[in-house]
Amino acid sequence: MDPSRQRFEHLYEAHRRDLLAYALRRATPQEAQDAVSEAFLVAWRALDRVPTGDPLPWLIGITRRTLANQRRGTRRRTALVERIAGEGTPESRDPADRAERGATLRALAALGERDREALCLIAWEGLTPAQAAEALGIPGTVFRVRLHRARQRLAMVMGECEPGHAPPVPEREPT
Amino acid sequence: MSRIDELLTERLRDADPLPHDELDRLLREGSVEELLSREPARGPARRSRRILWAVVSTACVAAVAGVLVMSLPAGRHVPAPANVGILGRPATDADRLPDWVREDQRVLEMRLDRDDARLARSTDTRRYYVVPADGGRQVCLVDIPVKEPPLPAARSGFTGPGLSNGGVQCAGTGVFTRRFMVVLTGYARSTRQIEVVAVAPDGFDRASSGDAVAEVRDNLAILRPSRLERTVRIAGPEGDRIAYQNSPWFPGPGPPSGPPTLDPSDLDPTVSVFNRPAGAADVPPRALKKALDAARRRPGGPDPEPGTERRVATTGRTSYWLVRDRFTGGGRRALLGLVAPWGATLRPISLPTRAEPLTTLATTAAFEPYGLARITLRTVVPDGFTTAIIGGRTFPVRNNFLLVRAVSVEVNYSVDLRGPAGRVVGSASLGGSETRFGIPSNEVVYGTEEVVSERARGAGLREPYAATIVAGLREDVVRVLGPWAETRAAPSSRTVQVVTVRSGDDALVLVTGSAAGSDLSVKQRRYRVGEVPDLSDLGRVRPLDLTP
Repeated sequence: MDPSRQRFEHLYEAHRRDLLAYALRRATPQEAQDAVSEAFLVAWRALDRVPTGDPLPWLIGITRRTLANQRRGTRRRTALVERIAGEGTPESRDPADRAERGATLRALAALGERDREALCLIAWEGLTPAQAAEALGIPGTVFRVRLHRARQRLAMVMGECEPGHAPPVPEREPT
Repeated sequence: MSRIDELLTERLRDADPLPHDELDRLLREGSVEELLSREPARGPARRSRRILWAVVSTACVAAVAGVLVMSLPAGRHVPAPANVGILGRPATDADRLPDWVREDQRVLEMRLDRDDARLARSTDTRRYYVVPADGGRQVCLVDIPVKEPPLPAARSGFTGPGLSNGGVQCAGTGVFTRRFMVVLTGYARSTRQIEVVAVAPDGFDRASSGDAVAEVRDNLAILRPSRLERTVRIAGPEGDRIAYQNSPWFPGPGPPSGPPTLDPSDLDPTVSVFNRPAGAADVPPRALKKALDAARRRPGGPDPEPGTERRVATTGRTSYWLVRDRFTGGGRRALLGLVAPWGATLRPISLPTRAEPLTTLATTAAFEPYGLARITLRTVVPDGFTTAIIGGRTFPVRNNFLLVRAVSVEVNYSVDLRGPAGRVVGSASLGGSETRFGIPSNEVVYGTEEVVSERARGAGLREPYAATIVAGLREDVVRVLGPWAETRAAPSSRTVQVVTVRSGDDALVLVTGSAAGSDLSVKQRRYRVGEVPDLSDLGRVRPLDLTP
């Protein structure tokens, strides 16, 4: 088999699931599938530019831009987080846990796009800060600052989201 | 990463909204070949030509498609899951669901793609259809008696799990990636009518459960074991698979259900954590104090006893606290406080008693359809127990508190407490991840009759009333009755009830907010009897008894 083709197939098999999961968290299934196909087509056309060591951040970056283009084109807000922020999670039976999840998603949806992306790349995609920075096309130091601020804002919003709770004043841990 | 960051990340992970069924479905679709067949040419000159060709050919394709679509019968094609072959075969007249099923409220509610049903098996008494639902995202088994059941009275309700009625049960198509669907279509212990149906993906030709073995044909196997077994297996060229029955009626085997076993049998559980001297770690944080104060101020609620706050566990930045509750209205219980950097929450938690020395009920259960589940347990444990064995894993018990997060268990699971005090084994069952609904479902939302009678009186209609009720999809109701029939209701409520009350020459048509919940927001309009729109297109029109 052609070595390029072989490498591409390996790339496809190794990262398709991760890319689909990334896109599904942010778009409808149809849009997600289109964005992933587009990312792999870009990868196939520019195989020599795909990083050999760890191509996932590069691929996520392409998928992210494709999704952004789709959204610009359709002017629709389809992000899954935003759609489900008001809904419970069906698999959880405990109303308290369901409320907790709902509050987290609502807090996430209340953040800006950049904050949300920084947090989700780490928490949901499982990327390291260095990988996430590469996916976003920004220097690692800039990403770390962004992530730090996003976490602060999330903690702040979560404090506001949970009725009856005080803002997040860090408690001293009893020793 | 700091501990607060860890906790935030952990909480975000818990809230991950990834739709796994959808992911599984999408992963089954597409391949490298298919992808690369879409690959456009490289280079600007060829790309321009390609764009021109694309425009021309798109226009041609659109024109041809337009002609084809115009010539096709009305209705939409639903993409079938790739690995359930029966849904891809050409339809025949026999595949058409009977009208009384097509119009059933639950069938409408569950968005079955009724025109894409396929008859998988027909016996002397029953028919089994495999039906896609929700635009191809789900697959349902519809099993019905051959003889149409008589039109039931409006309030006769669900007729039970025997084989005399029908049912519908759906699962996300993702279930066919690793497991398969199991439906308990009949379970009448008195007559030993046990029937289990397996809906299997392609590549499997045998199914078994207990002492029953059956052939898988058209993706379906009907098993009639002499006793209900928890597991169902399928086998064939694609290998072997196992799935778990998740029926709420399922009695076992597995860990025995019923009262816990005690050793010694006269175990008198005590919980001494509140009596131990408060240490430095037991100083309640400000958020917990605030929550406890707020609880004390609420009349009739928990009454946390000051000075009994004990820190019993810590994970990440969340600490768990037990507080004695003087309020006895809810039985013997304490309060569990969860303290995180953004605040504190209080929940009641049962204390062990002689009758119930161990609470095994999960506080959270995340299901994999027809597979294992992940549970979280927060349980107060009597003195003298140091370990708990759950799902084959051992967990420590400290400070009279067992905290287990996201451990994999089967539908039935046991908690085995051990320590110097002896041994207590308790069991629990998680019930089902899928629900089977009865057909015909003739439930009328509780309270409908009262609301309708009151409205009819308010509108000046004179008793006695004659009334009928029909459930229809919200959009269909608006189409038939007009925009006035649009009700305020949760988006999840897809069907609404339409009640027509007649009295002499007058009629009142009422549309209630939901046909499946307790939302009784009502829209109404007066008609002359002869002008009432024909509602029979919406579904089965049934009488509604308004006799007080």
